[in-house]
Amino acid sequence: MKLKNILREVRQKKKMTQEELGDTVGVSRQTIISIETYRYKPTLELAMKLSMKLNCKIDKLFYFEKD
Amino acid sequence: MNFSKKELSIFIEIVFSILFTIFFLPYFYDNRFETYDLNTSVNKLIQIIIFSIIYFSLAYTLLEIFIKKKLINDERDILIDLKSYKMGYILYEISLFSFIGIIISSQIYQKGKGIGYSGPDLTTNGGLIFLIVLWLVLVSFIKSVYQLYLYRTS
Repeated sequence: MKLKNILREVRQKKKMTQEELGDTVGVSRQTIISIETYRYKPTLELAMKLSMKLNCKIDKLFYFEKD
Repeated sequence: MNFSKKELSIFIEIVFSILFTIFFLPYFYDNRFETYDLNTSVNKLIQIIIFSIIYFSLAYTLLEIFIKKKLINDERDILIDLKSYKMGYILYEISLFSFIGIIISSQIYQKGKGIGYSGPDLTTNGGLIFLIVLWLVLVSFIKSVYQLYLYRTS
């Protein structure tokens, strides 16, 4: 199973840039890019912060996809 | 190609390793069969220290001037740092065992009992210093390149 996310879609809906989102949760723009492109799996703490900032349930924002 | 501030600071370290290899390593190589006396070693050491201070001050000042955004050290940075330091640690460990192996093989060769050894002369401190400096530069270079690779790919 692969961990996927809809971070980019939700962020774009909220009209936020990667930098703005990164600043609000205390990470760099590069970290947001890495999460959106599935190159980096965030810790539970960061995932929850993103979920709270984007007002989207964590299990909706991050989900498993079967291979 | 777009580089972040963190990536550029790693790049500064890589360039330093290259410059050190170009400007200072030949000195240690040329003197690998010599015995260093205190005066010449101290002069070289002072040169290296002054060069390092000027290089890093200049490089980081320019970095701060051109990229004003504050450097954020987040969980991804910590993970990448840990991975690259682990790589550095493994390399240092390998270096240590190789170094012991070279010393032992050099001793065996000098006694005329063992296999051929064509490395630096380890009966003088020049050979030892050359090997240590070479390894330090090499390990530091590999660690920084690996760190940069992780930043670009993870």
